[in-house]
Amino acid sequence: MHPGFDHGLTVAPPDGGATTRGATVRLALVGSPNSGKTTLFNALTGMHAKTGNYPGVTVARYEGSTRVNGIAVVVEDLPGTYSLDPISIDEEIVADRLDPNRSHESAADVALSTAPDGLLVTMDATVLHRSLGLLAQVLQTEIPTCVVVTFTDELARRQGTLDFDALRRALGVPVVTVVAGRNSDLAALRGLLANPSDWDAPIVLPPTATRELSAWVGSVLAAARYEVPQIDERTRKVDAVLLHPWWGSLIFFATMFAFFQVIFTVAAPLQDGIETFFAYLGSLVDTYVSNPWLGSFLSDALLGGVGGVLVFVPQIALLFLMISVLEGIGYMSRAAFLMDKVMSTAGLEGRAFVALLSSLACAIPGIMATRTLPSARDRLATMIAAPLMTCSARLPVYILLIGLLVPTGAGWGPVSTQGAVMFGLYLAGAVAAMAAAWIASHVGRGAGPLLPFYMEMPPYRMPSVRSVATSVWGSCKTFLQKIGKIILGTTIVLWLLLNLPAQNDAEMQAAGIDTSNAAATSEHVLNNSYAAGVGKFVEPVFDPLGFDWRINIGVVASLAAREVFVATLGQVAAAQDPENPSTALQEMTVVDGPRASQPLFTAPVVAALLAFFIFALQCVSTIAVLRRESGSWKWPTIAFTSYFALAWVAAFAANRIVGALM
Amino acid sequence: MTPVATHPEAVPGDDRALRWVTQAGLFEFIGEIAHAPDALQALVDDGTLVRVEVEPAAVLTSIGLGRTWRDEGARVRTAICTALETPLMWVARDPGELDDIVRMAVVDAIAGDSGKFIRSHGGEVELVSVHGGDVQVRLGGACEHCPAFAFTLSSRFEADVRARCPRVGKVKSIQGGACDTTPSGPKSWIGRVTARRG
Amino acid sequence: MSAVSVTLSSRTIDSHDAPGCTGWTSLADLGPGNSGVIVDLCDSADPATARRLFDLGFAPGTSIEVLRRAPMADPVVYRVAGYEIALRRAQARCIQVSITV
Repeated sequence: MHPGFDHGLTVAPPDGGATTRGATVRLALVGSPNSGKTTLFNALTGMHAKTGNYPGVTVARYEGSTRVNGIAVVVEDLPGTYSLDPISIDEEIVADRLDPNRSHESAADVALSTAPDGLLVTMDATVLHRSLGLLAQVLQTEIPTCVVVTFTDELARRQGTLDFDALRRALGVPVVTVVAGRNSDLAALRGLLANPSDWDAPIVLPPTATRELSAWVGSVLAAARYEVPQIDERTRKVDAVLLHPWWGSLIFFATMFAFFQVIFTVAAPLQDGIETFFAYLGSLVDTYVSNPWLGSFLSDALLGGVGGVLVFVPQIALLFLMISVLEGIGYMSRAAFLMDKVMSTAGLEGRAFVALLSSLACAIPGIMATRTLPSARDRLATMIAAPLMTCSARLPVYILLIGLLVPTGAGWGPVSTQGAVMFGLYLAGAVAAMAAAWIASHVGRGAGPLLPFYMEMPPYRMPSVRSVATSVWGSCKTFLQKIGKIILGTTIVLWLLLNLPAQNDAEMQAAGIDTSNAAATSEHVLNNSYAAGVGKFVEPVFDPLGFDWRINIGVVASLAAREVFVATLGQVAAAQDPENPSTALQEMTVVDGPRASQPLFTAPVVAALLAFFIFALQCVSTIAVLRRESGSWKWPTIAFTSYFALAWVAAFAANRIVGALM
Repeated sequence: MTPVATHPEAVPGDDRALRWVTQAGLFEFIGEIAHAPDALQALVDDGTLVRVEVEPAAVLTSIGLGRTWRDEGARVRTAICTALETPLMWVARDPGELDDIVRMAVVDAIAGDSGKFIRSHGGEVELVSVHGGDVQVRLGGACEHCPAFAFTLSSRFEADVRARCPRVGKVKSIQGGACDTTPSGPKSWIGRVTARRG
Repeated sequence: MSAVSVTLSSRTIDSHDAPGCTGWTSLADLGPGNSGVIVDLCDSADPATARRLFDLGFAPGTSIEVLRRAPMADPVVYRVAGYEIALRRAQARCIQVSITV
């Protein structure tokens, strides 16, 4: 047995080793990436994982709970690792967590300051040779260990064999097999969870010296009558195409392009539905709320804000779905393999491609995805580049602006001009991101040594629906919680700025406004609002780009979150013409100055706006995440100021060039 | 030199003993040893190991009084690995005969997986005699009327015995249906533990 | 670092004696379709990389097969220890292989 590993109690201090009813058993899941660890975690704990971070570092921590025979069991899903000899932050976390002699750094969190009561080590049955190496290292920690052998169905399908009983005898620890989706397997495992101190342990620990370890692994595999599975024919055949230097790359780019077209066609009906629903709610407000000020607040600020966030959930969910399905199938590592050389021209590696790809949905999960990069230098460079990738927040802005620039029906055959322009904008973002990464990785002096590059290519597998659903739901939830609050808050603040100071009828008549004309009154309120003050204040900065103070309000407000630009312009247009905001936008004219009475949104101005939005870092949440992930304000500040300058120059150039072409 | 593959397994009912499983057929004898290669002998001499016994495919050891496997395990492993590289330098207390080894291999096989397989299908297998390396067993019960009789005997049971002792001769059942599929001639001492044949 | 990590980080990789080997070559110089047995890792030159490669299954004595190359010849997918893994040339250079014909 294992004296010294107390069961942590949820309320009282440890009681010296006895398992009493109501005590919590803490287990940790250890295993290499792609070994089915997270699928097992989801199956054991359901979708109720608590996330947070490990203290002092920016690695996500997943913990879930379950009950076995009335005893609460908490399971921690440790980051995937190939070895307890760590080369990355993630792996250091695992090695630290399993250190039975760790010092109690944060006594506040008993759960973190002691080693787990028991470990569940997942071993992929098709890669048993390598998995045993990790197991041998884990057994050195002398924490009670139970082996969970996964993918045994795949082993059988590929004519491999394994004698589980013999494996158990050879290892000296409990061995359970689990096939994803088979609940009977889970029952056998769950029965063990409550009493890790009862688990068998090896009498003599496996060796760590390399030669002796190889001998030990060979002997255990022989005793367990392990027959290596045949090469997965399906994977081999598919890879012959998907990893072909020419065909593979072609298919890859075609997939990416098709992806963009799908986002527009599949998400559109869902988005229309949401818009219709919010328009309906708006009409309810109009009908039932008598106070015009309150009514405007409710429909423009609240509903406008919430609706403005929700309307993009279908696209974000689609993006996350695509990414997690590709990841689950195993295609992501193929994509990273194909892109590795290209990425290395920017000083990055293939996996950075996945982080940048994730940034297409939102830079925040993209920046968080850089944690998979072992090299700290790569991580920083990728983090800095991520905000330049065309995130989904830019979509509403682009859609609005492209709509002002290009007529809806234009195109050649099945390819719409609007779609093509959109693709061009995405491409511009990607190229800018690569350039930024190159600069960052060469300028940012050694945040770590050059680490070796390697990437496992797992066999193609059907991802479990539950894993994909968990991943999509978790990502959307995080996005909504973080961004939704900011956008809503910003919309409300904006509405206040646009509608204050409130003018009553007497004041307006004194200023010569016809109070019965709704358009005139709202325009007057707008022109004298606090927001107008801000817009006019920054005019010197944005004048050369062709913006007027109304656009300035939108740009300044969008520094909080890009979607706010659309909401702001919407409010400005609604202030001008409450009945027809969209036509109001098109017909908006310049108020004063050299271009007075001319349309505001001319092609050069729209081009300048597009160029500005490609580069500017307009997202408070991104800055916050950059601060968290890079550990200081230095890099977010550099990124923000450089990208603003770049955006200004690009907008200026776009304005002049398009103006010259007209 | 590559160390001989070995791993320790617990001995049920005796937690001071440890069985170091290795290739079958390394040794020409079974039982207690009189003398081992130096690395291992040193451990016997200083009391770390109190018993070293050779089995067809393993070495059985017992830890000495006052010692624990926890403290001595790594030393013992290294010593055994080194010693196994020179099996000829192991000296038996009682050299015994091939038949003793074969007998132990058959008893092991009867208790092991192929015996369990036979019993789970309603049959029985028992050892009748071992002579000159040849084995006679009696397959009874359901086996008497089973069409797969000869196949079970040759492919499963004999394979099991041969895996433990590559030098076994023929394996026959006294019901008749002798299954002489064993190749004759010098046999390699280096055998692998495999369960499937053909 | 934990005690286990400290022990693991001081490991050295022992080379494998390949009887009758036809000569060693670096894995980086082996093209797709070739296979061989790993003989040694660049322990002295880059110990951290060597240990990581060992933990990934590139152990001396293990057989290895070169599968396919990416566009622009880097990285390359290898089959080792029953699975497939991609390495860059810089890492493949670290591995000495004896070719099996």
